Amino acid sequence: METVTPAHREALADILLPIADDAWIAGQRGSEWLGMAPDLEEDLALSSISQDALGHAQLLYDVLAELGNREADEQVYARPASGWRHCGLVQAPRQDWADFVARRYCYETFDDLRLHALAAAGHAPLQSALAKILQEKLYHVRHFDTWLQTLAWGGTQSRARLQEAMAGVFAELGDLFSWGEGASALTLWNLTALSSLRPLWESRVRDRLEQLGLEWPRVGAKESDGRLGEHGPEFADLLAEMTSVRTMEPAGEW
Amino acid sequence: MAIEETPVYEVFVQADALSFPTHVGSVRASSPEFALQMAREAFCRREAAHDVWVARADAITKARSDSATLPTAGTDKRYRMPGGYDNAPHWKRFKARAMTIEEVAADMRTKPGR
Repeated sequence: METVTPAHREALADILLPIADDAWIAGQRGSEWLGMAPDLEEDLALSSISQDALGHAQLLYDVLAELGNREADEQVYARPASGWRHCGLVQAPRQDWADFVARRYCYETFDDLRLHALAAAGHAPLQSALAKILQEKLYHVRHFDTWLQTLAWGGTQSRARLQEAMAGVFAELGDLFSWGEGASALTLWNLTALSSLRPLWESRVRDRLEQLGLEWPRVGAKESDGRLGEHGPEFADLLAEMTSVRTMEPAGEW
Repeated sequence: MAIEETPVYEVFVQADALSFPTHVGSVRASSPEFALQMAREAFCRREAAHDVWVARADAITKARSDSATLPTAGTDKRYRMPGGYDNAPHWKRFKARAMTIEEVAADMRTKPGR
């Protein structure tokens, strides 16, 4: 294994935490659709994808733990709200299905680009985690892309609701592309490509929306930066729910 | 598309390259691609498969809807069964001696099965 200096270790945490936290929160929010998805088939599919997402987060937390950071359980159950680095896009509470599809299509597309760019980091445990994650990510991207297409061609009402949802989601994109304190860490790990994913994402999504005859909505400005731990009051509720069982017996063996 | 209008796809899973795809159940889906995704989730959550086929249920023609072609066993078809040709002793010798297929044929000519 390559030598990892304390500076590298800290930098990798700055880089991986936002990615892991995005996956965890996306998985958590996805699981809230259990029993609420449009049909039984999607209920199964989405539950499975949510479990995958939580699994991806865990793999990344494990890479960090190996470098001396806290363990996965501690990351999820013992971190204060301000210590989380996910973006507003994945944190939004459940609204309607069109909103969820638009949201997850935007997130999965971005995460796919981000994970592929991460392949340039020369750290064997990370690469082995990425190999597993990317295999499932391919399917997650496909799943939400199929839904996007289905809603886009699903009739006048469906298309209108999707277009409206897309506008709402784009207004909240703000901190998706931010690296917060991690920006300087990228250089240390030879990952500067990660800071210029936005044009790649825009071109991929723009092409898709064009193919589906959807308008390109206005991308909202960054109001609060989740990458700096700014998550708004709704995250306090989410975190309280996520940790509710654990806090009953914090010292217990789970 | 309302649920009752969403087409039914029959799902066939091929466990490995040498097995036949086996019917495992059905899913409702709005497109063949979605049917594959839903089949993956409903029937292949835990185990990998070599391949999965989906076919729209209404694209499958069934013998039950055309009784003339339904295989029935009205008359005695025992004469079409492979029984009555006992090759087991020949195969046993073949395996024991690692004979060539030509030798087995010669063997069968000299020593009829029963």
